[in-house]
This record gives sequence, structure tokens and C-alpha cells, in this order.
Amino acid sequence: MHMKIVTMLAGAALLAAGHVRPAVSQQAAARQTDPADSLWRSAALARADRDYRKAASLYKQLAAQYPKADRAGEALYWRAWTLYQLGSQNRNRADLDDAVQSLDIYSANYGKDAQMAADVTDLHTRIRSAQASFGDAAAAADIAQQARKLQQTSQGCSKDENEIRAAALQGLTQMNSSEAVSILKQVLANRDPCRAELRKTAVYLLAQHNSDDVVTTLLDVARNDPNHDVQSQAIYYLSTTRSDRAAAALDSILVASRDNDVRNSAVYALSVIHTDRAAQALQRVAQDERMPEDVRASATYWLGNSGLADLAFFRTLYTNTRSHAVRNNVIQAVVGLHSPAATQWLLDMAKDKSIDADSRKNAIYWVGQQKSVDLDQLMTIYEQGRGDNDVQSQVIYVLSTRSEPAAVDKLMAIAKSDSNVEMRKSALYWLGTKNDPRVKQFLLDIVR
Amino acid sequence: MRTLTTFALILAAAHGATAQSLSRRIAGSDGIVDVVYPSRPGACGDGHSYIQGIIGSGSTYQDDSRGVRGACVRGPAHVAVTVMNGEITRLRTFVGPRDPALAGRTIRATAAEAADWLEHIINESERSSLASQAVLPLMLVDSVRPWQSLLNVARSDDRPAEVRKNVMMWLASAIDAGLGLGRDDESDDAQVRAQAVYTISQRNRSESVPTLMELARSSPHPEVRKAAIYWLGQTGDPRAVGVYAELLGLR
Repeated sequence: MHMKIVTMLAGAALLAAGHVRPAVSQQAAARQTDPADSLWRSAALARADRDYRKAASLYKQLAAQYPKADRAGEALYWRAWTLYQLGSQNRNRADLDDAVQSLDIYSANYGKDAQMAADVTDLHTRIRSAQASFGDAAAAADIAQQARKLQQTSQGCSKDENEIRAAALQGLTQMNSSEAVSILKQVLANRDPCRAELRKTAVYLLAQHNSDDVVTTLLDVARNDPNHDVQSQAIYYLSTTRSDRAAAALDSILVASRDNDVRNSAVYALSVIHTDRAAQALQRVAQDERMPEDVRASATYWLGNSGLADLAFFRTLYTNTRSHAVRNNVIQAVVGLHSPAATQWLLDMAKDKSIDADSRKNAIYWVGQQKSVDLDQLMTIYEQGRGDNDVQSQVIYVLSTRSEPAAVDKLMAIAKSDSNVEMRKSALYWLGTKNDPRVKQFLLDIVR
Repeated sequence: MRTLTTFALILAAAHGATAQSLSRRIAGSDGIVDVVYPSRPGACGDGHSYIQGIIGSGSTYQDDSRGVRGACVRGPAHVAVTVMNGEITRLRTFVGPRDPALAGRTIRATAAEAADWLEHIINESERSSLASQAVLPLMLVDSVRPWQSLLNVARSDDRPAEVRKNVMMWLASAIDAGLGLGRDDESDDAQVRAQAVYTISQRNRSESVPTLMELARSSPHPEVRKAAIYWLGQTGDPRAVGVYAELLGLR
């Protein structure tokens, strides 16, 4: 009662101040007093609070008591939705049955809104999938029938239609039906551009089944699907089968494809397969000077990152290749080997005046990131680099990336008394990035 | 007192009037307009890529994108003004022989007219790039000491940061010239000291600004003082303007 008085007083104050136009205030007043609207708001609040049982009850009350209210149809949809949440979370078949019944009432009495109809169909498919996965034979038959319809050609690219189809596919897989693989294969065979998203879903679902048959289908998609994303998805899931057959097929894709993104997907997939066959394929690609440079560089990187080649292979590759990108990735790959021999090779590279400047600087950087390489070793590279400002500057930069306080001592020593003024300036620059408390006083000592 | 106030108002009005008059003449025709006015004694350039002696002997403006550097020839300043639909959109500044093929319609202005017009752009233009472009030609105007006006711009929170930074850069040159810090010591130790000042300027402001203020005011090393004055201005810290005013002997 107290609340009611406050509301009335507030409404009177607004009207008196002229803030609310009469027509709007009448509508608002009608809403405030409309019991259907009141039920709708209470149900929405309960749904937002995830009190689905209460929400379902309120929506049911609204649709039953006020069948001619504006939102009576929507209430039936949301009742089904809340019951679906309860039924699928608690594996409660009765709630799912009630949800389907609610949608049936909606379709019989309110199914004229096209957008709402699509949402209703989607929800219906999801509920039937849940029922099927809980052992409802009739629902299983219903889903299988819907899934069979997936073979039919669609007209136009309807997003709603595709979402419903994807839901049906997922329902089919949840049922673990013997028909599932066959229907998924049929979906993948229809290469309509509008169905690319559906095919991606089908690839994912098919990859959950483990059989030779599945590998064959995925290979076919990887080689022949006209959509780049679907191809890449199939290539990725082929890698999860970890079979030599898949490795051979991916190897053939590497050779035959003219699409570098697809080739790079195949490179990554081979590194995941991680068999001898996969390693051989990647090594051959990395060495093949006729292959696109980025594919070779990618193969080199993944060979190192996955431990599919040894130091001897990378040393030979580095010596033989003419590609800068491959050389740089050889250095990164060798870092990934994490062995004393690999670190020693990088140290030799860092000191080698005969190699190109980029490779040398790259080697210095990666050597500097190895904790096993101490500061004296870095200073040896620095001293041996005299006459080459790029090399010495790189060592100074690498010193600044080291966390040990002694690295600051080295930088301060260079800044104070190196014979090359450019190196003194470079050391000062990088000292500025360090949080070591000694740096402030050091800088002041220099300028005063 | 009343007489003085009236006199100041008349002066301000006259100042505004000359700037508006030149602006109107420039805005009268679309395309490129060359505004020509007397430059400082000592200023020279090759007419397309660089200008020397802007403030004292040490200050040089160079645009490497404009081709090979020619001989440094003294002469009036030229500001190539791009006008589109009566609105100024760009200023480019030259000293020295201008290629007649590149020059537009010429408008001759006195030093006072040019200074008023350029100060007006710096103070009022809503295009920050245009206001920044107006600082260099103002530096070149003969017999003009715009430091107080530029200090006011540097202090103004209403002007864009880009403009205030540019103003601080030229004020730093003016201070260098006034303190005789123009010529660089090329010795190794001097270079290292100047680099150390830059490194200090890149550290957090609570550490860098007080140190730069101290060095700008009293470092015994000219290169340190010069670097400190410059980098202090580029920190964007409001305390820098106070130090600049002090070093210029202004408010």
C-alpha cells in the first residue's frame, strides 16, 4: 500500500511538471496496470535470474490466462526455452516434453511471425536432439529425418536455415546414430557456397568419429572443397587422426596445392601428426628451393618447434639454402632444440664474420636469450665484433634484455669507456630502459 | 589608467586588423599563393630543401624529401600558402631562389603584417598541422621577437599538444642562441654527455624533469645545457615553460 501511494504521487508530480505528454502517460499507465504485462516482466526477471522453473510457470500463466495479450505467443516460446534449459541440464525428459508441447501450441495459434517461426524451429530441433540423446526413439527418428533433409539443395543463403541445419547435425551426432557418418558425408558432398559454414560444422563432427572411412572423407574435403576455410579445417582435423595415411595425403597436398595458406595449414598439420613420414615430408619441403619461401620457412620453424629434425639437418639446411627467411627460421628452430650442441652452434654463428649480418644479429639475439650463455660469452662476441657497429649494437641490446644486475655493470662499463663513441651512446640509450637504481646516479655522474 | 587601457585596445585592434587584412588578400584566390616578406639577417636557403640561420647560426631546417641541397642564398622568406575554397590548408616555407614554375601568385607583406598573420594562425587555427607549420615562417620574420607570444601558446591548454611541442622546439633554439649554445662540441665525451641527457629525458617524469630543469639552468657543459633545454621542452611538462621564460628573461 505504501509503495502504491509513492508511485501515484510520483506520477502526479511528473504530470504537474509537464514532463510527460498525456498520450504517453496513458499508455504507460495502461502498461502499469495490464496484468499480462506485469506477468511478462516478472517472468523476464526470473529468466534473467536463471530461476527457470519460476519463469516457465509465469510464462505458462500468461499464455493460459491472457491468450489474446500481445506477448502470449512469445510467452509460449520462452516457456519452451526455459523448460529446455531445465530439461537438458537436469536430464529431465518431462520438462523437454512440456517444452515441445509449448512450441506446438505456439505453432498452432501464433505461428505467423516469420522471424519468430525460425527461432521456434531452431529451438524445436535442439529440444528434439536433447530428447533423442536421452533415449527418446521418436525424437531420434525426427532428427534423423531432419538430417536427411540436409541433402536437399537450399534456395539462397539463409542464415537461419543453416543454423537450424547445424543444430540438426549436432543433434544427430549426440544420438551416436549409425546414420550419422553417412549423413555428414552427404553434407560434405554438397559444395554449395551457401553451405560452407554447415560443412565446417560437419568436418568438426565427422572428425569426432575414428575410422579409415572418416580419414578418406576428410582427405577428399582437404583436397577438393572449393572453400578455403573448409579445406583448412579438414586439414587441421586430419592431423588429429595422427595416421600415416593422413601424413601421406597432407604431403601430396603440399606438393599439389597452389594455395599457400592451404599449404601452410598442411605444414602445421604434419607437425602435429609427428610421425617419421610427417617429418620426412616437412624436411623435404624445407629443402625444396622451388617451394614458396614462406611455406619453406614455416616448415623449418615447425620442424624445430616439434623436434622433427636434428641439429645436423638444420646446419645443412642453413648452408644450402639461399633464402633469408629460411635461414632466420633455422636459427629459431635450433633454439627450439634446447641442447648444448645447438647453443654452441648459435654461439659460433654469432661470432662468424663470414655470414650475413641479419643471420648473425638473429643468432646473437637468440644466444642472448639462453640462460646457459653467460655474460662473459656475450662480451666475447662484443669484443670479437669490433669494427662492426651493427654486431656490437646488437650485443648491447641483448645485454639490456638480460635480467641479472651484472648486465647493467657491463652496459655501464661500455658507456663509460668504450673506445667507440657510438657504442658508448648505444649503451647509454639501453641503460635508460633499465630499472636498476644505479642507473640514475650513473647518468648524473656522466652529465655533471 | 583608462588612457592606457584604451591605447592597449587600439593596439590589439590594429594588430588584429593587419592579420585580417593579409588573411583576406591570401584567401581571395584559390590555389598556391606566395607570401613574401623580409627575413632575418643571416637567414639563407636554396629555395627548396633547406634554410639556415633561422635563429642565430646554429639552427637549420631541412626537408630531405625535396631533393639535392643547393647553395645557401640570402633573401626574403617565401611562404607557399595552399588555399582551398578560401581556406588555408597548408604552409611551406622557403628562403633563397624560388623556381618560378613552382611559385604561385605573389603577395608582398611587411615584416609586421607577416608576423601578425602567422601569430594569428598559431593562436587560432583549428588545424593543428597548419598552426605548427606557421611557427617556422614566424621565426624567419625580420626584426621580430615573438618569444612572449610563443610562451603564451606553450602555456595554453587550449592549443594542441603538437603545436605546443613545436613552439617549445623553436623557443629552445631561441634560448640556445641567446645563451651562445649554438655550436656543437663534437668530442666523444661531449657526445656521450648529450646522449646521457636524452636518456635521462626518457626516464619517468618524476625523475627526469627536475634533473633536466637543473641541467638547463646551470650545467657547465654547453652541450649538456643545450640538450637539457631541448629535451625538457619535449617532455610536455608544464614546468618546462617556466624554465624557458626564465632563460629568455620573460614572464
